Amino acid sequence: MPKAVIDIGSNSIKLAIGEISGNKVEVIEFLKNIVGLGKSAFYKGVISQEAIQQTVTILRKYKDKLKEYKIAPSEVKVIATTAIREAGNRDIFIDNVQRKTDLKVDILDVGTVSYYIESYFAHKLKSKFAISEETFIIAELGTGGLDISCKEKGYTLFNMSLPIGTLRLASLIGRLGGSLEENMEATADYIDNEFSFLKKNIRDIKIDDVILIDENYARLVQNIIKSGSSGENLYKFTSKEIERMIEKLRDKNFEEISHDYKIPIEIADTILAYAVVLENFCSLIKKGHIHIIDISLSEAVLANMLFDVKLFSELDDMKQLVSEARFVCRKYGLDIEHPEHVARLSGIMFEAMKEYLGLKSDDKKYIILASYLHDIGIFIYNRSHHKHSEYILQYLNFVGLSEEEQKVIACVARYHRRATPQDSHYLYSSLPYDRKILVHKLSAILRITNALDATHKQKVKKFEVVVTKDENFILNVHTNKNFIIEKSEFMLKRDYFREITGSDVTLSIKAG
Amino acid sequence: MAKNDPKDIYIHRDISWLDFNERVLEEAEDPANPILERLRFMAIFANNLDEFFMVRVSGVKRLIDAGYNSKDKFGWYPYDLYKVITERTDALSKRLYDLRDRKIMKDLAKNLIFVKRYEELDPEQLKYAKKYFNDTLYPIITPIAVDQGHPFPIILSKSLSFAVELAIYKKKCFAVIIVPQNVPRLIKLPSERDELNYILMEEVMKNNIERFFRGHKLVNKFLFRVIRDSELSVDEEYEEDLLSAIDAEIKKRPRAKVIALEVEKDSSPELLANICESIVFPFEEVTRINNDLDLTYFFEMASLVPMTNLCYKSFVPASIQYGNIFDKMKEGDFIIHLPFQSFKPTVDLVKSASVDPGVLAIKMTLYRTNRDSDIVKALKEAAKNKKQVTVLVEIKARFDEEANIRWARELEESGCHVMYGIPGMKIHSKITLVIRREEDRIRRYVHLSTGNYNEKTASLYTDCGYFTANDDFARDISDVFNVITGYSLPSRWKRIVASPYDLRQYYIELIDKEIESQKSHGNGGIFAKLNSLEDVFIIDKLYEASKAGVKINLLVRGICALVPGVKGLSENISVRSIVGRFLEHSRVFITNNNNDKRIFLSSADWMRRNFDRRIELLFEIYDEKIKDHLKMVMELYWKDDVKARILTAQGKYERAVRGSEPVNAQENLIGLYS
Repeated sequence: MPKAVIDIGSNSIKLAIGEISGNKVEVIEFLKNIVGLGKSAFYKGVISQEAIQQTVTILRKYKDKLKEYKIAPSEVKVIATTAIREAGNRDIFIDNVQRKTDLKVDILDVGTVSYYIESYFAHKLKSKFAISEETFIIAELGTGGLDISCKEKGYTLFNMSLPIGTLRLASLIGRLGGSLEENMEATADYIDNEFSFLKKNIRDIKIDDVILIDENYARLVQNIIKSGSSGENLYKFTSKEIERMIEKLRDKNFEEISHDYKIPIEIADTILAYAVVLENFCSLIKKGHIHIIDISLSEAVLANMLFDVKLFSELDDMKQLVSEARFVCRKYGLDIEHPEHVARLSGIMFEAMKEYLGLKSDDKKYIILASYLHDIGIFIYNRSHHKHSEYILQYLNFVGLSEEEQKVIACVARYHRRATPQDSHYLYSSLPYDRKILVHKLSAILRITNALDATHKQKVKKFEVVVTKDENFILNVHTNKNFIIEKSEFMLKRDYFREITGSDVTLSIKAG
Repeated sequence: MAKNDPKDIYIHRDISWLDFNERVLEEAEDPANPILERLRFMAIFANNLDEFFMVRVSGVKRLIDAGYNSKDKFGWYPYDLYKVITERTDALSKRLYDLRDRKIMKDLAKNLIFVKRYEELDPEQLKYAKKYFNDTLYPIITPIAVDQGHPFPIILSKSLSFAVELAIYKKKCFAVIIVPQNVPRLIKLPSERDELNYILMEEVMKNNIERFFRGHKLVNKFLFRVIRDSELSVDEEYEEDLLSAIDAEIKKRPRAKVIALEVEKDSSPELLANICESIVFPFEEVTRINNDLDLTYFFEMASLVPMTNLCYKSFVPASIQYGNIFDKMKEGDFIIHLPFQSFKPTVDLVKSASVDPGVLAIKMTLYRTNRDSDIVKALKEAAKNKKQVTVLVEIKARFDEEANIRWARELEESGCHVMYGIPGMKIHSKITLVIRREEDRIRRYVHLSTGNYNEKTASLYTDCGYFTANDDFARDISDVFNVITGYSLPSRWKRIVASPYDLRQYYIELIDKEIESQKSHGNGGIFAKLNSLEDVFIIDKLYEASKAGVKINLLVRGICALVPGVKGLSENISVRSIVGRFLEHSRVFITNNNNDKRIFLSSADWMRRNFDRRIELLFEIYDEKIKDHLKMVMELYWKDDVKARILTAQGKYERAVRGSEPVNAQENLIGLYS
């Protein structure tokens, strides 16, 4: 049965309808219409009502097409990327679209975009590319931005989005007003500068390969350097080849580039900038390649839907998040021992208490991530570091976590010390009621587990939680170290736990 | 030779077109053709000439009237061109009427077929003619007086009318009588002998015309015919409702500028001056004709005469065997070559799709179709059966606009989704897409053709229809429909090339490859079959290829603005034109490709309009069997020395010299497929 994906991008809206044919995706229909959502969102901060109406008109046409193939609404995914993600009025946009077309838009974060690309790549290459062994970068070059995800042995280390989408680059080149050479030099500087943020993140990580999804330029690179194709829709280039490409493009104007290499004139002005993006990626890899997949994001999502690919089916989702959390600790210069220790204790407490505190298994990831990252604000300043932790966490990007979930983590981390949640606190007050309660419960746990490692010396050797008949909790700590500071801290934090849960918690220190 | 003067290196398209129509006239003159077929060729010639006036001459006249005085791309000033055109058309018209008088009427008489003048009728026939006038014509004809209180009536283009001068007491009056168009022009007369006798309706009217003016003295009368400018002037850029705009524009046609006025030879100068003034036409440009204005009635006559021995030998188009058209298409791609093979598979595809429970949607372009078209019926049926039916109707198809509007509305009423094309573009490609849900997947069936979905012309025009269930084709064609219907922007196509996007450029690149091949391997070659070659970019590229040594053979049935065989310009180019029993209409393009030939089919001619203002498709044939077949067909056409004419370096067409075993490609193809 065919399925469909509608991709609301920064410069165009696409519909891909496809079905499985053998072990491949057969795209039956691929529709594309230009709507300048990015122009509106990037430069005015909001999407204009006119652009929203244009979107609605196109989506109605796409619904006709879905009707033609008798595709049920449950078999359709509507995704949106950078433009909607960055638009100040995205809720208005989504509401308009939903009311007028009955289509529910799912705004993809960078992590989710990279998940789809990776799953497509993994599915496409299967055994040929050892995703679970390598450290690599996955990127999607859209018109709005370059979404990047860094992976290590199958787990995401970090996600980020650089504002160097093709539309943005074209607009930058257009407004520079210098000579051709000056414009190109300036654009290269601009791209290098954006990449410097990526490079700062990567630092000591050795990148084996780069996987880039790009539907505009990939096949055209071959026109310039006559190499690189390694199968249908897939291109593979070395650093040397990209250097050669830049050399060939450098002294030509757009008309010459278009004529000499059969590049459509409308993208001839940005292909050198594209080459600079590739060059920057190449500078991150030593021996490996840059792999470019010539498909659209909508097709990658479609493949995922049709084959029901679960990239992490054998791996633990929690491990994925922990991997990201550990990378963030590294990035912000935290010793990993304390957060890891607190996370271990929090995990044990959560499992033992969840049933009594009305917590769901799925909530565990919040306490674990908050445990890993509660001290991250120290990077800014030691004083009030819990507040710094809150806003840093709010803006990090974790694979598969919604904005609201990240807010929960940020709040739990914030309330690991000092003031408890209050409605006057902006982030906390923006959460719905059930999430607020969750923040109370989880921060109460984190306060205790953090207290048990108050000296950051990981003195707890063994840790057990015993539930008494009257639903109070005894924490059995096995240690041979001086534990009086930890005990004193614990005594300060237990009241809040009692206040929130209605259960008492006591500490029993035993020789390790 | 001054190569930078376009006049030296191009033949003007209008002059080349007149050359083509002259070849049509030669077929009428050819005694080897059966007499009724010669009648048809005369009618085709006359009809072609009318349309030429309505479209091309009107355009040149408009330029002259506007005072435009620059050279066109062929190096001609409008006035010079107009002069040459009118000299040629006058000469050709004279040749047509000479042929009628000196040969055709005599040959018809030999076969006991007569078109009689009124004075030649025997008493029985006279009685019949009078009765016919009284019973049939008189009740439906209304004379229209022309004076200060009665303006000159609207005279439709190509219609016949009488101008009448009356004397009422001593006062002169004028009137006009329009010859009715809803009764047959040719009246069959009774005959006691074994003869076929006919008389023209206007001849009967002329000799009974006094009946309309009892009590008045009829001073003068003559038959006249106007031809009007027929170009539509719809500003499509600003017309949201193209259908209404075209409809409104057609309604303006009866008042459009008169381009030509034909009258009987002996018409009174005074009355003629009056008519000229009324229709705003220069007296000195009037064409005077000796008997029978408008010989297109020969079409009617050729159909009326029940003597098959005076026509081409009939044949039954070969059929392709299959049970279910979808299964046949799944077995592999195939072509049908019209009219030698039956059109049935094309109709079957739409008919089967209309009732097949698995079919979800049918999409089709319709440029010209016939009355009572089975295809149109099937589309209506499909809509009734809840299929999604999308029909792209080109309502701007010249001279078919009114008919197209009529059946487009019928399709709409039956529930089809009818689209009326893109502003500024004509949808000339002929494509059908059927989307069918089968056990395990969606399958799409595609039909592409060089010719229209017209069951009538399918037996008269040579065309190639291509049937495929190939997914790449299906996706491309699906995308073409999405583009035309405004559902999507074009994407990258795998199997087709389309105008107005990159078709011209693609051809230029293919020719460039042959130039390269010639330079590297000495084997560059191009073989193309077209209706018209007029685009100067392509012509210049062909000249470039010729200069590089690429051997180029062109079968161009109609307009050919390229001059072949000129030393230093086009010495490696040969041009032949085949005008015969069937109208050559297929477009085939072959490149030698370093001895691994590539073969393409297309809906497009090499004309500027096809590249820039029409949606046309070109597609390559990969199936070796089909390729071999098309190569064989093209080679057979090139060998034709019966109906082929060769274009010389002087821009003249000469008949090919017949070999010891003359080859008539079209007749051979009938035999080959049967």
